[in-house]
Amino acid sequence: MRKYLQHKFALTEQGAEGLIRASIACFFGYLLNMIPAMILMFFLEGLLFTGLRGSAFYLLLSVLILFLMAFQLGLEYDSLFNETYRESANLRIEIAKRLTKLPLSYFSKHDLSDLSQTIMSDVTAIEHAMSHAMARTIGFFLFFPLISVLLLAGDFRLGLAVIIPVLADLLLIRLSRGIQVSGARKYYEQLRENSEKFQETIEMQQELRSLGLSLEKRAELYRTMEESERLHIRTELMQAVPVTLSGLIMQLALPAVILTGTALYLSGEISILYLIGYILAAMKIKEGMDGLSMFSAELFYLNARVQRIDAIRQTKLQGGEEHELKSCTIDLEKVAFSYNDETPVLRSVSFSARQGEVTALVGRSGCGKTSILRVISRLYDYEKGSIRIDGRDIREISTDSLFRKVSIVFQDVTLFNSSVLENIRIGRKDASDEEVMEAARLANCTDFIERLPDGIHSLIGENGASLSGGERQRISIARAFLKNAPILILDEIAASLDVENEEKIQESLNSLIRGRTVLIISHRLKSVENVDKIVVIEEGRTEAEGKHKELLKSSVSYQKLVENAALAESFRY
Amino acid sequence: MFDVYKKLLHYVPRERYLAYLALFFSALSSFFTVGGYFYLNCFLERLILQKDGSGAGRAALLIAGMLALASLIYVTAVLISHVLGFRLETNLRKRGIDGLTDASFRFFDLTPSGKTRKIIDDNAAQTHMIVAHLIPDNTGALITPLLLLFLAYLISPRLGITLTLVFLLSLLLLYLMMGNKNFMEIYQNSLEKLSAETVEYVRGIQVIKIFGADLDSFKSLSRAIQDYARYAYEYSKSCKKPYVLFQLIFFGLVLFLIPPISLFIAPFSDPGRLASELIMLFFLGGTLFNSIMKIMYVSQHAFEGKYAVNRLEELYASMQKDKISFGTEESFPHCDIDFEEVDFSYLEGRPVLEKLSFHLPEKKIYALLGDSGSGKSTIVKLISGFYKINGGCIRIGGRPIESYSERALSENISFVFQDARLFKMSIYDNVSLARRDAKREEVLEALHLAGCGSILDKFRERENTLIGSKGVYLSGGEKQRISIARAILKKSRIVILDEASAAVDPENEHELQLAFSHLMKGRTVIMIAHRLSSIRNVDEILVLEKGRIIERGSDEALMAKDSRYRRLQELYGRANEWRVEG
Repeated sequence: MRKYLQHKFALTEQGAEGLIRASIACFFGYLLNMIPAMILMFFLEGLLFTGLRGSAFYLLLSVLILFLMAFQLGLEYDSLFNETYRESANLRIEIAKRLTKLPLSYFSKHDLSDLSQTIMSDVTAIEHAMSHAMARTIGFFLFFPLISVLLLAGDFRLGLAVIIPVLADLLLIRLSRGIQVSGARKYYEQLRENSEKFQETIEMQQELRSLGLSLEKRAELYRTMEESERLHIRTELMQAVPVTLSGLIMQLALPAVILTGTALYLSGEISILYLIGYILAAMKIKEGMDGLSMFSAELFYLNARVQRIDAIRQTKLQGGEEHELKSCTIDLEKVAFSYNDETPVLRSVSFSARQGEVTALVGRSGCGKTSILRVISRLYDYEKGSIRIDGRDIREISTDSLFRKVSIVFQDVTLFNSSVLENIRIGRKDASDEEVMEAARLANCTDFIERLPDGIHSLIGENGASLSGGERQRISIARAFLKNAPILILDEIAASLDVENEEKIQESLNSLIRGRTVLIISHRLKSVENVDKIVVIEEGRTEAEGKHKELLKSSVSYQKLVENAALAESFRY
Repeated sequence: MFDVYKKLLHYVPRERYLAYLALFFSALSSFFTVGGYFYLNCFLERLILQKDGSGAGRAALLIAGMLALASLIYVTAVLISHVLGFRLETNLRKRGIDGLTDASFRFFDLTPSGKTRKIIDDNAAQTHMIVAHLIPDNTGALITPLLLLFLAYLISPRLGITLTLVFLLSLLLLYLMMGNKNFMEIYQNSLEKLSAETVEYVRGIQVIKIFGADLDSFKSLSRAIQDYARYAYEYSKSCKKPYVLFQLIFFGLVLFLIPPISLFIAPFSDPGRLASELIMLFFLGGTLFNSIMKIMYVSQHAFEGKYAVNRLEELYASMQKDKISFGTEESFPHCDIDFEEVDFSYLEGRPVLEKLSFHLPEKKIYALLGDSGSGKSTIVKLISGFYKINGGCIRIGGRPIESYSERALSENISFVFQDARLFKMSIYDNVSLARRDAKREEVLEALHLAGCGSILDKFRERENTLIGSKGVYLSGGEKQRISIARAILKKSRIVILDEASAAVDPENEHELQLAFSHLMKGRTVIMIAHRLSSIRNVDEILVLEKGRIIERGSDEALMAKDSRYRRLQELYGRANEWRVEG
């Protein structure tokens, strides 16, 4: 049961348990709600026929039931509302944590806004459904069979008059489900697409303006909005038909009981009390059903969102065991990889990066250098061949174990909207403030940090908007210093630093490199002339490897690279 | 609540009649519902008091008719208001789109993209709720209780009084629940914060993965999540007592009344009438409860809706604040660029440029040099005309930049950005955007000149390869080359290169330099150069520091004296000779 609910509504374990509790509370709520009607009947019987009992009796009875109801309502409230918000937090945290475990390939296939939506509004919708629709619906389905049996036992025909409209209504909801679900999903997908379009329009403003496309983009978005509006209306109409019908059926449930009951009463088959009792029961059940049809629409609408979250949960994680790496030599043999199945990026890459040595990858842009670094660090899993560290296939080493030993400095530095201090501390989360500052010093961040209004505690804006490229990269280097991992991967380092700081950065890079296994991509060929090994990559293959001097003789590609670099070097506009 | 509607209807001037129509239909529906209960009372009276079976049967049919009618009319009202709500939603989004088109880049620099998107997109959706569902529900919720009370008094004064008291008491409880109006704002704020943090988190997932920085160390998101949950929880807790009491009053209504009735009223009343009234009380109480629940639901959404509109309007206002205006001049007389005492700041109180003045004659190549934060990027951005300056004047061709039409600016100025971004369309389309009337050969030629040949060679579909989540990914250098192809195709008179060659690979850098030279010929070029060696022949070098030009001149002139430029060149030379120590 718990598993089913957890899957059905994309809840956490705790949330599903809470939902079960809430459903039971709602079930008792529905039951208790019938009691006042029964007492009223009992009272009417006394009033009209058998004579009233003492007031003390009624007082005792009322107080008892009222206490019971108050207790139940309190419980129901806690289980519906209070628990919901805990669940929404848990769910968001679970998804956010799950995201860090997914292979990066997942992120290249999904858009930023799409994923953010999942965490944000999908959970909000689930949260709302949890506090309103889910438990009440389940509670009603527990309650309804029970009350049906009681009603049928009392009087079969009157019982049927109450139950048939409800059953017809339930059937209708069930039948219309297909239309509703597909309609809702279509619209929901449209919304998501719109959302992506908005995000793109906002992010691409620079391009849009400079290409003079603003007005065109506006017209396009206008059209999209109008189309969604039409789709929305269609969706709503499709949903309106069953909802209308079901509303109508329920409105007629009460008259059905009244008419049947009156006929039976007139023919002397039931007493007036029976008639009144069933009318009261029908009224209560109608109230429950009114809610149900609203809730079921909400739950249908939820389906697409639940699937979205489920997809994140079902995505295969990168496997591997905990393994304490002792040696840090990396061996690649005939490695092949592609981002999508069509275009291979790496065809056959073989080389080894020995422990404590610096290995540089060179080659033209797009030849696969960065992809090699990515598969080595398991940001993506390679497809063919083998990559071994410490003699083990890296796909058998858990990413946690691997990442503990690897630091990466990328050309695109991602920063977070928090302080410089916290951005560096990403490198090692348990680092003390002093250690962070030391890392900042080693990476030559001190000078620009001092210029910031609140020093190292200054906030740096969305994705570090207020920092320059050089400053960003220095923060990234500071992270690596802080992490102090034995394997260091440098991707296009020093590609956008400020001239004035470059020298200092270079010094600190050299001290960062010392004693580690280093893989480096540098856009400045000259800077890697002295490394232990240079690997030349050409269209996803290792073309040659060796020291600078050897390659100048043996590798045509390398010669060409060096020549081109020299040309660029001496170029004057 | 009514001011929200007034505000909202303002955005759908042509469809306003739909609001009144929905209002009318839902009032009508309430009338028929209560009509059904009126006949229910007739039915009970016939049945219990007059023992008139066939009369009761007729009344039962009338009940059925009334209720069915009410239900149909209600649906009509809902459909009408939905049409209105959807239109409103669309119009609000359109307004947001207009704002995006008009806003200055300062707005984009300062407002996180996730936040802007959420406000425009999601907030608009929230308003549809308060119109589509709430116009009929509001009306019903307001009119039904009144009609019910009226009916109760019609049946008997004591029933009327009882129901009135219950109604007033429940309103009081409702008021207690809604008491904390600040809550909604806190709630929405924390929701927005959550949205912005999430976008950031997902963007940084690579870093998060590598450094094993779990959510706990990613404090701002986990704090945003927890804060949001906590606010919601606290609010929910504060509502518990009144809400439970409120439900108890209605669900247990007859239980509250039976003991006193048995003591004080039953002995002195006609049992039949009393029975009939009690049953009616049971029914009317139930219906009243439903109406009040709706009011509650309504006001909750009204809060949300009101908040949503206010945020939207705030966003519009901040877009409008820095709105850039364009003129009507269609062409540049010449391409001299003048800054006259230009003041500019991204954030108030933190000026980047102060009274900056300079003159750049046309058809020359200028290189800007300076630290990060020296203002060089800001200067080139301002020349694009998409920022509103705080003071002074920027002129191109002798005319203030605001006097040109948007088209004139975009056609005459090309930008190769530091962080080149491509649209999710084919490579070919990405380039041809720069000049729509360009022939296919011209686009291919531009791709060729920008050294994009090797990119095309990688893909089977060559220039028709799609970029983005449904297509392929390109490296930073590759994207930049494609954006250079755009600039080449555009043939504009002013070219701005912002650290253009930073991410380009050695093999193609030289080709690219040639392409740049080709692009620069005969144009006014302002570049932020990365390779200091390559700018030695440019016409003029401007060295910036803290938003001021501290040196200006040719390479020769500047190298001749003890200049900052000379020091930079020396540093660059040394940095260039650096080697990674193996």
